[in-house]
Amino acid sequence: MVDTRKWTRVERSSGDSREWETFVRPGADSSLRHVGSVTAGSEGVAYEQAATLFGDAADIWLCPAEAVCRYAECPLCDRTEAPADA
Amino acid sequence: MISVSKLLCGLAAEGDGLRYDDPSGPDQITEQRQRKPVVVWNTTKGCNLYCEHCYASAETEPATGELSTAEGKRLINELAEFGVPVVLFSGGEPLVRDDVTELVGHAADRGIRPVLSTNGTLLTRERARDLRDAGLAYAGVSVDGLPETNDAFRGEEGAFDAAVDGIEACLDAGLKTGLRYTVTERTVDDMPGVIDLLHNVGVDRFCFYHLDYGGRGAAVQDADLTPAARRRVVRRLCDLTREYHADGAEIETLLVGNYADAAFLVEYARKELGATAARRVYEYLRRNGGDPAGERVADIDYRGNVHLTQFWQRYALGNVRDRPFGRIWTDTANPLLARLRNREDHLSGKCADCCYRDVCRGGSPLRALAVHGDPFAPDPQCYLTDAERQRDVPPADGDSPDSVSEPAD
Ligand code: SF4
Repeated sequence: MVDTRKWTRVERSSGDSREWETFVRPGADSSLRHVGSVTAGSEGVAYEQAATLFGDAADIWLCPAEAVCRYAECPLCDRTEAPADA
Repeated sequence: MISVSKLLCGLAAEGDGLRYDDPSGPDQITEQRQRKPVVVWNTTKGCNLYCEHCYASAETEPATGELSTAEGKRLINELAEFGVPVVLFSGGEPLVRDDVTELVGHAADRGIRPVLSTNGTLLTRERARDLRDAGLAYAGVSVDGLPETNDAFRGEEGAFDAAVDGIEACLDAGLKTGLRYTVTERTVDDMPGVIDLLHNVGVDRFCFYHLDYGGRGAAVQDADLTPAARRRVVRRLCDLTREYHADGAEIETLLVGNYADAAFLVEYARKELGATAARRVYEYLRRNGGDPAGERVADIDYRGNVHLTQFWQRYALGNVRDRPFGRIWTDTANPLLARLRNREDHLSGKCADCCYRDVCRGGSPLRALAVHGDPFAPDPQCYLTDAERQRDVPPADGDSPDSVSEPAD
């Protein structure tokens, strides 16, 4: 049985901007990876921005940041004096 | 950040160890380069002013989602653990946050050098003393022109006088205080007058920022200088610095945000000071490593997003609420971060074979992105001539100062 207490749900907001989590597949055979986020008012502008930054990618996926549920092992809200390996 | 005064006048200024790995004086050049980034933390998006060129696109009301005091302290803990040498508390206007003194104190307690970037208008004498007591190492106050120019740019009449009051409050408290000045078409003519005025107030450190094309700065690109005008103003600053020093006033002058300046300083030294001095300037700047985006400077915005520089707010590598800063910053599986850290292999156009690419590294990737749609294209604000880009570096003894001529306007 998995102990889901290992992870904490991260509550965070994008402030007053629209943020798009960005994923790229570096090559046709590689797996998709998260490469951060772009801030843009519309999907079209977000796509343009991601495409200029990751022009070599085989695929680009964008997801509105507010649609993502994040469960993290080491979120800021749980961190105390010093993270183990930072 | 390029210290004009240090390079041209040999001034050993506080903090230069971070830029040149030269803790022991101007004649020592060490192998070690700064390995951990200086972190700019935009503690809030709120500001009491509305400046035309604000890279953070600050608003008069704070945005939702700001890191709380407790989160800020945890963040500082992990920045200290990661080895960050300096945190620059910025905004918006950081002094609209009530807890900024507490956060500055926390950074100082954790061994980080806390510095402040402020518009100065909220700096009362009491606040300046509290910040000093908390351990603030330096306050950089933004002024953009003489009163009329500054107030129009900053969107508030009286902002200039209020900033000068703030500077005086800091100086009275014994805080090291300097000017931050963004050079644009509208502010360039006021530059010598502002240096003169603030030097009389007691300021001895003057940082001049080139406009980067982020935030509202992108919308005022049209107000930016032409490359030829930029060359003239950098030359003027070099001349002015040397004139002040010749008169016994050891002001510190710095240029920020355009590493073609580094190449120009070598050229200037070659012409005005001779090949030996030019070689020394070149070596310093080569160790300094050129444009720092994604390497020697990092930015964390008010909501915890980590950016490649403070001006590059529309792209984030990750968020410190999800993942510790150190893990985000060292994750070179991110292809953009990996390319930036290895950018010599990706520079294109005139940068690809420029003799100064070691001291410049293609200039600002953000300006290149804004103008050419490619962060590895040449900085559109490079003002070096073709002849200068094809010289022998480091400068050799046979180089006659007369062989360097200024381009015709
Ligand atoms: S050509 Fe490129 S590398 Fe050379 S000084 Fe200009 S921006 Fe820098």
